Amino acid sequence: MHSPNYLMSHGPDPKRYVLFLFALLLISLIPAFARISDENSSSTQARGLVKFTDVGGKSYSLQASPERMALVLIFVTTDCPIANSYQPLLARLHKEFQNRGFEFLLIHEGPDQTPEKLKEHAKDYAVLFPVVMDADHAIARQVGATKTPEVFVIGRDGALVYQGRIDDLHQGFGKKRAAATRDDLRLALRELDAGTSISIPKTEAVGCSIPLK
Amino acid sequence: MTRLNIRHFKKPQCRPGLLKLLLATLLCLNVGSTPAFTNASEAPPKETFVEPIAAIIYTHCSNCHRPGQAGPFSLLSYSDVSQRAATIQAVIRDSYMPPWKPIHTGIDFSNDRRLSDQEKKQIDAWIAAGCPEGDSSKTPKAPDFPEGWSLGTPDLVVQMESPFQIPADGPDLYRSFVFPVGLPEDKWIKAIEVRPTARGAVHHALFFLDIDGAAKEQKSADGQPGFAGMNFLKTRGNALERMPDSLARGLGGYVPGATPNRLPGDLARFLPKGSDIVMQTHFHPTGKKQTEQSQLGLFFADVAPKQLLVPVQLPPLFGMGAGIDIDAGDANYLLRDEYVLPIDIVGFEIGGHAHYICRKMTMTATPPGGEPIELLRIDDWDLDWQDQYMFKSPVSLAKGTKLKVDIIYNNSAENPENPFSPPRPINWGRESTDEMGSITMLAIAKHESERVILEQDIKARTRESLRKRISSQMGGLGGLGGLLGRSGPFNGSPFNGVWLKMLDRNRDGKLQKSEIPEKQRDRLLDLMDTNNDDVIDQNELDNGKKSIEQFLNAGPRGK
Repeated sequence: MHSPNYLMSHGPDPKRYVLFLFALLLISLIPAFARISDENSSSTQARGLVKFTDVGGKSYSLQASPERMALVLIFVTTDCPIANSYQPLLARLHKEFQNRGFEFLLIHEGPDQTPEKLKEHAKDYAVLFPVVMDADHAIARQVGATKTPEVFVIGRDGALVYQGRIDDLHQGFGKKRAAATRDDLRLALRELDAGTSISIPKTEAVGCSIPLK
Repeated sequence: MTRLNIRHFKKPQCRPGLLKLLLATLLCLNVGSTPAFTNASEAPPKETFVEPIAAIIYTHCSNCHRPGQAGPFSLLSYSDVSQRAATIQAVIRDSYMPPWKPIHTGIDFSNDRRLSDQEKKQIDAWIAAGCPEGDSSKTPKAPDFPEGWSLGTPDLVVQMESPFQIPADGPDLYRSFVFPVGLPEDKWIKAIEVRPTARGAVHHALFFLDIDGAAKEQKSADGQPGFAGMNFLKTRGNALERMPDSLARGLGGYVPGATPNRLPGDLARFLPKGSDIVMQTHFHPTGKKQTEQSQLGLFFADVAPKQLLVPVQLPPLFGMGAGIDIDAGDANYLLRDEYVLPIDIVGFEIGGHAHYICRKMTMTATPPGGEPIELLRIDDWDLDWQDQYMFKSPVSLAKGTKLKVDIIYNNSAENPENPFSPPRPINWGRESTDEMGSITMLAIAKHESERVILEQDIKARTRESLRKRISSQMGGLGGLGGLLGRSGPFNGSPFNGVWLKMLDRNRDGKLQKSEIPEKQRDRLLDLMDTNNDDVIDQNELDNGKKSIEQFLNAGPRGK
């Protein structure tokens, strides 16, 4: 499986590692490139690894993991209406993919959170997969999440394979289609599951901004 | 230049871009101690939360963004606002918030929620400066928003009889609920205030009068309270004669963000004895199951007003007779209606109605020999935010003034709000995926003695619209004429003709709702089903045919 070329995958392939270092060098030398890198590089390795735990205490890592097909990180807040409106769809996707090695995680980026609030939110919205409190936005920064809802799918080798919206229902604030015309996340997960390349690996998420202060 | 750049770059951001973090790490850790920023000559940031941001937010945002209101989160404290600064900036730039659709054309509205250009600049500058709080001891106190009813204690509170279950997801829902008001005497309504229980899910609501209590007899097959669509606009008895009245029975509406207003002066809306109020509610499922059981607060006038409000609607009947027929792919369909005022009037309030593919609407008034004035102009119509706009100063319009309404629809695939993908032809209809279109101005006659001239003139136009509608529906094999036995329009064709035999599947000599083809169902029931039991029997059919013939032959009346 090929990672999209904007990724700097940290695989066992030494060529890629050299490429990665070279890219870092470029970035450090030419500030103008930094923006491009900033927007496109979401390598989970670029700024060190993050380990974290869900509100139940189970720990996770963004590192390569041969046991799973992919890690599906969904960034939300408890009070972003667009993020909340997607919970029933996320529940259906989770049901479709949970037995195929896909691990779903709901990562909370909102202010003023407590594990109790997140558990209550999970109950209200019938969330059946693990919930993570990212109060200092370390995970969001690590992968480059800026919006809620925004999804990052990290493949078995630790490389990012999909980043962006869940579907194209929302075209902007208050500009909502009657029904989505492209189920971006579902298609990406199916393609990953089938071992084919991801047809559209990056899309623009529409929603609330993650307060990265 | 360099200094400026560095200064700009080193200024703390509410939401520092990753670019800046990366650059800071790689390039300028040492350039870092912000010499420009700490320079004694540098003025402290001008905008702080304390002054002027808090006051701007309190005025324009907090009324909805506080606990128990429609906004999804509170905007009351420094922490509330600063942590959502990036989202706030994005929705302001997008003109999504505060919700306010009319373009300013020189006409001022008393319920204007817009931010001024200066306020927008102040918010931008504050966010660019890193959202400084200022001297927190001087933070202005958040306003004392009224708990409960915002207009005081209502004269009458009515509640939905049972709760309605809103599903967690799925398409937007339109549901009409009947509030059995049924008072023993006539009343005059100064204001209606609604208190939804599922505030995040109730996107807007429109209120209508049901003068004969027919709506509460409607039942829904799903066992939930209320019913779908706008069939409550039917009435008992001769539907054709009464439809022009029934469609004009709007009582205003509710959108999140709108503060309920009392009508100015002694103006009030008539609530005839025995009437119920129907609330057509538009729900957005929110991701979790919710229940809705709204309360309505009614505020009555002590005495009858000296002058009566007249709705001046262009085109009449929400565009029913205006021939709305929009080809699939047509990105610029124009619906236009013009009307010359027969008397001097004074306008108080204005608002539009249309569905998803409407893009723009304007009402222009051109006084005799004068320049046109745009009374209402909306350039990005959104049915989620349909509102009534009260003129800050009542607008006087002289006899002979030409009112013109232009409504533009985009039925192409490029319109993301097109309910059909790929696009389909869209006509007038009561379903949300059909279209309607009109602008209504609430006005009084300048001289009350002339009011009847205006009312009769409007009634005649409305009847003419309805007549056109029926004529157009009669045409063609797929039209009502075909369904009922064609030609002339009916020419005595018997009910037991070929169509009835084909349609009356259970052979009971009547047409049940389910037996009528969906395309004709609403129209036929509207016209024929006078007792609202969703069945057309022989008697109703005969009478219906007779009254349609009379109506069509008579032409516009009431002048």
